[in-house]
Amino acid sequence: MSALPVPPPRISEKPILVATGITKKFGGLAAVDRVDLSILSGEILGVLGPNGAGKTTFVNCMTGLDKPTAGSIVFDGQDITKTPSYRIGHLGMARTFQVVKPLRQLTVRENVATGAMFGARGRERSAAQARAYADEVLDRVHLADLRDRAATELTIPDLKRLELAKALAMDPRLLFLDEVMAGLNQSEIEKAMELILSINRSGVTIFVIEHVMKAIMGISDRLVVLHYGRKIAEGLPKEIVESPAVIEAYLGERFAQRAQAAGVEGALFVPSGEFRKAPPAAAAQALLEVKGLSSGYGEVQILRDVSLEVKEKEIVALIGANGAGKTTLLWTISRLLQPMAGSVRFAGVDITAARPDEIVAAGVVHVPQGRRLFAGLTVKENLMQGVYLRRDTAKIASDLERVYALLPRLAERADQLAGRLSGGEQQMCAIGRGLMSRPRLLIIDELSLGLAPLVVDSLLALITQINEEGTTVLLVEQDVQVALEHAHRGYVLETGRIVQTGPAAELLDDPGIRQAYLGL
Amino acid sequence: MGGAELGQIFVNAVLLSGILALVALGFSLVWGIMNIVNLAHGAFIVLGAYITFFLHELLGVDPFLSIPVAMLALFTLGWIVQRGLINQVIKAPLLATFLLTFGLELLIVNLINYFFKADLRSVTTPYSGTGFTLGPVRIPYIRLGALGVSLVLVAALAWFLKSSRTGRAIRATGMDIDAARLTGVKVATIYAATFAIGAGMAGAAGSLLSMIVPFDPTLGGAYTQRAFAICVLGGLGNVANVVIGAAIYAFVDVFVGARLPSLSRAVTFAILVLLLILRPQGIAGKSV
Amino acid sequence: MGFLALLALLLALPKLVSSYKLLTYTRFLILALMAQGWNFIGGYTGYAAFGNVAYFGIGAYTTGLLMIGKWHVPFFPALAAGALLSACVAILLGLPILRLKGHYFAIATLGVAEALAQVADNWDSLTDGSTGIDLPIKSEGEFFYYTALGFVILGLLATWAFARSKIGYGCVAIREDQDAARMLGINTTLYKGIAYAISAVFAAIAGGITAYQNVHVTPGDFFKIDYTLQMIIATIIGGVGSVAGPVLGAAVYQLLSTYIWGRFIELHPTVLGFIIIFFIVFLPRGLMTVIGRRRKSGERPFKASDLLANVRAHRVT
Repeated sequence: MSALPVPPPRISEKPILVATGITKKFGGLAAVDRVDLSILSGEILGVLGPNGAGKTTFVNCMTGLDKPTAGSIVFDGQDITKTPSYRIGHLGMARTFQVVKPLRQLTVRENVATGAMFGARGRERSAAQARAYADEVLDRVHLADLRDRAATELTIPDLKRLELAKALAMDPRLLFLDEVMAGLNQSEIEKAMELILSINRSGVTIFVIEHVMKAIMGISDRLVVLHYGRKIAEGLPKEIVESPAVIEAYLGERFAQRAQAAGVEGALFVPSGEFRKAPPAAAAQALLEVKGLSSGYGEVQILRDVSLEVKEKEIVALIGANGAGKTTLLWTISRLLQPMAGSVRFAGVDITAARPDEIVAAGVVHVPQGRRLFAGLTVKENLMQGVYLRRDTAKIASDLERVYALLPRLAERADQLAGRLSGGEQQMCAIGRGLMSRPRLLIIDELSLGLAPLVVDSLLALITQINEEGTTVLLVEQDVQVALEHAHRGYVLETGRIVQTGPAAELLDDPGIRQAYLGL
Repeated sequence: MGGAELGQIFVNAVLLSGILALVALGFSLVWGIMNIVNLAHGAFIVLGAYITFFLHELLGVDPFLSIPVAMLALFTLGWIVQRGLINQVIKAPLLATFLLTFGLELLIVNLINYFFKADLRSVTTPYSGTGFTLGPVRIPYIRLGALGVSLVLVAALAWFLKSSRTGRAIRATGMDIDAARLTGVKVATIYAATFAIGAGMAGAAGSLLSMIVPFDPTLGGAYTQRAFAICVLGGLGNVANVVIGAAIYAFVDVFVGARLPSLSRAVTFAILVLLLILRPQGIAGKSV
Repeated sequence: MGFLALLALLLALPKLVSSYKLLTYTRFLILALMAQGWNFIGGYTGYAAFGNVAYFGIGAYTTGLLMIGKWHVPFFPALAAGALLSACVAILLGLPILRLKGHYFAIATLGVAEALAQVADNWDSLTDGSTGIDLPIKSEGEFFYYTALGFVILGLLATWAFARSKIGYGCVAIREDQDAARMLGINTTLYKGIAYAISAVFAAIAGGITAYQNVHVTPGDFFKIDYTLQMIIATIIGGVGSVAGPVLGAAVYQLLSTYIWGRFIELHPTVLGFIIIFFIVFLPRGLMTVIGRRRKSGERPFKASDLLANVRAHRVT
């Protein structure tokens, strides 16, 4: 643990929580792997790490929701490794959930009152006193106006605040915040930062997981970085953000290598010429036209007035930070989500009101985030599920051969269950399943997520080849470098809106992208 | 318990397990794919039994030949029930589908009761009651035939799910409904097909049961419970699990029945509840 | 005001209607009592208990057995003993089965009720098997009506207090999200057990009153799954997890059932099936939500399309 040079008086050298050798395995996989971590009393400890780094699992272990496979946790001098989860709250710890868990059919006030009833000081309060205390807490988090609304009627920013209010009402001494800012816009993020700081200054130690870099840099006293379940860095915010490990974890390994090769300290974007693609002939027709699309889940709006165009034979990259709404956009195009407003046209035909199967039949094929293979089907069965709508039986055999030729690993594993494949093989199988549908437009959500660089390279070569053979591609990526190097054009999505667009090469050099990602 | 008695119990259990597998197969399919515990499954079985009974009584159709008719009729009914009723509330909380299928069971059973009366009936053919002996063990022809038909139908459904385009889509939908949509599956249709196949299998089971046990409209409830027990024993997921679950259930049932006939259901349920608590994924299943 | 008028009407009712009709009203109150009980575990806590008839049966047998034989305990102490025994059984059974979720919990409770019915059927030395037991005869219908009415009013007050108490909040949190509830510091095992025991007490009281009124208690009559279904569907009709919903729902159910039963006497169980299907498909969230919605949005009259909106929300395409 690197000590603070001059710790502010509110931070004591004595840790409030000490976790030693925490390991959590699911099946054979270690989601958290031998992590040692101390949280100092009074500090704000920020935690960074890409998707799947094990951050939430770590918090689950700390709060008793998951029992660690190995390791021990000491809170305030007391071993709590085996304490049942409901007693954690009585001891003075509280948390928020990344995927918010409001008590849906209760009002905002009742939600918060529940926390006040059962938290650390719940025993001292009657139910009526808890309801009164809930009002105080709601004032603090600026939710007082909504106190009588049902939780189901709230928007995402309000739900995030409600999540925080519930935890606060439990009078915690240590508060775990799991991505309370994801999905908030700039000014909402600033308000949330102020709020977290004021909670901390009132004497609450805070452990905060956050993807919004600007926020976490602004409030944390110290930072810890998790990657593939391991702690890879710990230190002061300044040190951490310039460490290659973090750049790699956030912008992709390829980017980090290039940054290092160029030897520019702290420079995150290095112009590179080798991969840039010229856009295809301007005469190309628009294949997919999205106009003024708004969408979301239930009452909660995520996308606001998004317009985007993919031309015939193009590769278009859609980039944006976690929670920007990329997947929501793709789900709306595929009609797994209903649009609230706007239109989608494909090959000149309005498909806004089409059913998902009609969209597939039209030639829009979507390889979803997380692969979403049918785990209990074999590789071959997964591929064959891709031809579900096709009637040209004669050509299916030759298409299967083609996919096997493009992705020889799939041929080797044809009779294995898809659930048993490695991450890279799963992504191959998902793309293969998409290709079996003979797409005119192939949509790929998070191609590189969780994959080794070599695998990503080979998949990108494959995408390029498919594109050159005539398939249009819409590529959604978190890894900016990966996406922009291989696309003709790009769009940047930020908090549900398109904020920038242009040829991929120009975007690659644009400092604005860097801001969207790292908030620097 | 002598060797001969044990042998007879063993053979009875084997003969019973085939038909129980058929009873549970459709129930397991609907549960596994659509996450619906169909409490009207037993009512579908009873309908199958009545179809066979009346085809035999009124038209003299051999009960084995009426099996396809019962299957087709129940398949059609299943399709209509799924599209018309169950699909309307399929995303609602568990309580809704649970009660809905229970209401359906009440409706069907009592309508049968109203129209055909509660008399105990059975299908009697010239070969009923005949059989052959194998040493000390007696094997009735009808039970052997029922075992044969059950095995053929179980194998046919296993093949259909494994190798046909629709069967694959059914399995895919059960594993990941959104991913299935992204391959072009119309989920409402696949659900209707799944439920209809489940009902058709129940119809076949009812046909066979009508030849083996005397029945009245209330026979079904006990078979719904048996189907559930078999699914818990074997675990959901595939046809083999159902067969394993049915075999275990048949052996427990036959042995307990021989020792404690009056408490057999209480004992079976006690075992079931214990199993639910200790091993909710089933004996053969990996996870739920 | 309206409430007081209704109360006055209910109190005066035995003077106004025939003793045969009073039987129907008593039946409504008994159903309301059972539904109120089910509402604690099924409505507030969100556990689909399908075996509450077991506690109805335990209440009936305990009350009956204590009133006859060598003890000759008076009715009310016997009733209390039945309620207590039911609560104990519910806690003992609840510890293992409340750990189950979803379908598994529902079927386990169903199985427990079945198993208890068989025990009652076979424990000849205690229950006289399927012949059943006979209680002392009490012929004043008013007694049963007022007893049931008293308990229903108590039940309303209890539900009202429960919904505002810590236990109520804890149970609702469990219903909405069990992980969130644990993180809020709620001992989920304890609260689920309490809700389940309360629901058992209500069912046992209903069972005890019915036993005394019917005089004759048999396993076939007092462990009938129909009772479980009726209490659930009455709660659903009225509105799950609301204070007055179960009583309202029981009234609607009894009205429909009596009216239709009067016409098609042989189709009675079919009617129950039909009522269940209708309310599940068209009004899965109960009458109270429709009434409540109308109040909230001002003067908008209730439309048939409101029913269809309920349906569409749960359909798959």
